[in-house]
Amino acid sequence: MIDINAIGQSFITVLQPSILVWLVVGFFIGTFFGAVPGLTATLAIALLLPFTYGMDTIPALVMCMGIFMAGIYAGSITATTINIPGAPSAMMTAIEGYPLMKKGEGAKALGHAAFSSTIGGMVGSVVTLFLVGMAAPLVTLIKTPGKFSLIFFALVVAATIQRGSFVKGIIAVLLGLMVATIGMDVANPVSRFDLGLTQMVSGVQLIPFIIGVFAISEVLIQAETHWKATEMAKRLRRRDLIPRLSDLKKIGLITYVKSMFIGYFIGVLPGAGGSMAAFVSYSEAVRSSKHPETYGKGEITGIAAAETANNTMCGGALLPMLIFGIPGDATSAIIMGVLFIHGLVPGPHLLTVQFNVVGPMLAALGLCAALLILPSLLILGPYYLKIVSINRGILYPFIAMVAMVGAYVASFSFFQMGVAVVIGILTYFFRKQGFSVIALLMGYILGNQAELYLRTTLTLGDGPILLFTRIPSIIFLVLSVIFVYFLVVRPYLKQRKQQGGLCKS
Amino acid sequence: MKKRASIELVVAAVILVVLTLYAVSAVTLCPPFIDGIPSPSFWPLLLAGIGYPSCLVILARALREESPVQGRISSRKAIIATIGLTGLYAVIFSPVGYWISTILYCFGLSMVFSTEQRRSTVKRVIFSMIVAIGLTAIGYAMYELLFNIRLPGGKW
Repeated sequence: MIDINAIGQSFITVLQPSILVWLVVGFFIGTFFGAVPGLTATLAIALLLPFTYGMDTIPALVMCMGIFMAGIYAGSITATTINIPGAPSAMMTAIEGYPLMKKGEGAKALGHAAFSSTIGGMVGSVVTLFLVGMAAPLVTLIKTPGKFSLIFFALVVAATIQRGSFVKGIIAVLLGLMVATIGMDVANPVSRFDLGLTQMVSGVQLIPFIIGVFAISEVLIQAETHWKATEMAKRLRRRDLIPRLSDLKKIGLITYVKSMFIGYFIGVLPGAGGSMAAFVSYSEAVRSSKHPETYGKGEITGIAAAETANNTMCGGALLPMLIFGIPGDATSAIIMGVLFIHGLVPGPHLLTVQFNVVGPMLAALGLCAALLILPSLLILGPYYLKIVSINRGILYPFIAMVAMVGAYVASFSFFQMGVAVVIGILTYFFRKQGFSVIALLMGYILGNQAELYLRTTLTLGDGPILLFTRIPSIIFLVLSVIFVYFLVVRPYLKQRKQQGGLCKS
Repeated sequence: MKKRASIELVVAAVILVVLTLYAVSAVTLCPPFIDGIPSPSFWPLLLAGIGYPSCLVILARALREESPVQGRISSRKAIIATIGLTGLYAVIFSPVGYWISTILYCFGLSMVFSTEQRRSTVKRVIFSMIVAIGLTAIGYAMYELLFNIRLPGGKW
């Protein structure tokens, strides 16, 4: 049930100066991490996880929302100015924004990216704010077999939706599930795969795992990457940053609405993320355009479609995370870690009794989009290029140091620090071979729940048949099959047919 | 072509070995079902069971050389140095303490990450030393002073 008073109170809570300051701090951290190529909002929150131990719950979550929203938006800055997307979700923005930059219209591109991000971010967060209120009773309808099937569906999506080999997606998920089995069994007092070490009885802990996967592996990736701002962009004029009404009319309301739907729906899908949302929305804009030949040469409708979708995704990604504990993307997976640190568990209790925590978190997401994106662009826009001028010899040692010390601080364990290093090194080689890091993360995060629900289902009266007789379970299993068919089987059959046709000719 | 296939083969082989060790470890734990109830080895064996065919598919693709070009390390020295420094940092962090270990770590990484800059070696060393001391001090201020988190002082 929607409680309008509670929603209103959430916005009031965030607007208190003592809370709002954390939103602003998070916004600038997110802007920095989102703009610099190689850094992401996911990395920022992963590095800040250990610090959130010492913070109150609401300021910690509000700061994370600022980082999340800003991190997605800020990728468009370097995508437009130097043709290197700061965030993966800004790849499509680079296709249209950089040609505009070369024509001397970079400010126009940045302005439209910011405007679209504002609209998408606001709508996504408000939709989620209303939907979580309605979702609590629905969650209780899904029993244990349905919960396992839901997680199974989430893992199937995570394995299939990433670009690249489906089989590699499966292996990435499996490796994550295997890491989750290290330590105490979910149902019995038995330690598994601990290599005889007492320190491993507690398993691979969340923060060292996240730091290893995202921060340490990224430092290794960056050690062999060299990028430079080879063209210094012309100074941007503030007045050019404000989108013109004629341009907004040209883009059209339908583009914005379609992009919001696409972004939100993709955000809800586990593991999909901003880059998928931007890609699909951009593709739809090209497909439905009367002049598709203008795309790739500085078409602002392309920027609007991509940026609206990827920021609407933020609200969508939080919905399954808050309701079921199934993150919609990597960043929301780490935000779930912040919830766990503060003793909060996704589910009906969080959405009802603890709405006083969740509400401000979602309100912060919307307020960040509404209050900070456009004003920050107008004030700081002309100086954004300085972000990418930071010396790599300072930036990456700093990130590595914060990551390593953070892995120690998370549990005051030198052993877990070592675990983070090992995981970071393995993830580096993993990424080099084209395995999906998000699928790995999803496997790790959902592994224990998946095992518990399956084993419980098999223990119940009718055993495995329950998976195929309970309606929620059937729905998620059917959805899994549909996804695999459309994303894996059909493209494969089409490819084989084309290859067969080529051979005949 | 041969080099590309061999990297994929090595990866598939490593994953197969890991799966096998994992499955063997699960089997030695207990039977997958005890009195008809799934035991602690049930889930690991299920995962291994799904993992084997997937791994064999990757192996087959690598043998047929169907895989796209991936996995080439473009700067081996930088990677080896970064891995070595990071591993060493984790080992000496406790016995040596935060200050010395972090200065050494940041110094090493700064040298690695500033190789593409056009500076003489002496200038790079001085720059990296200043960066190392500065970052270590910033880290100390953040953790100990701002967040009240005790950092190791070293056993020596």
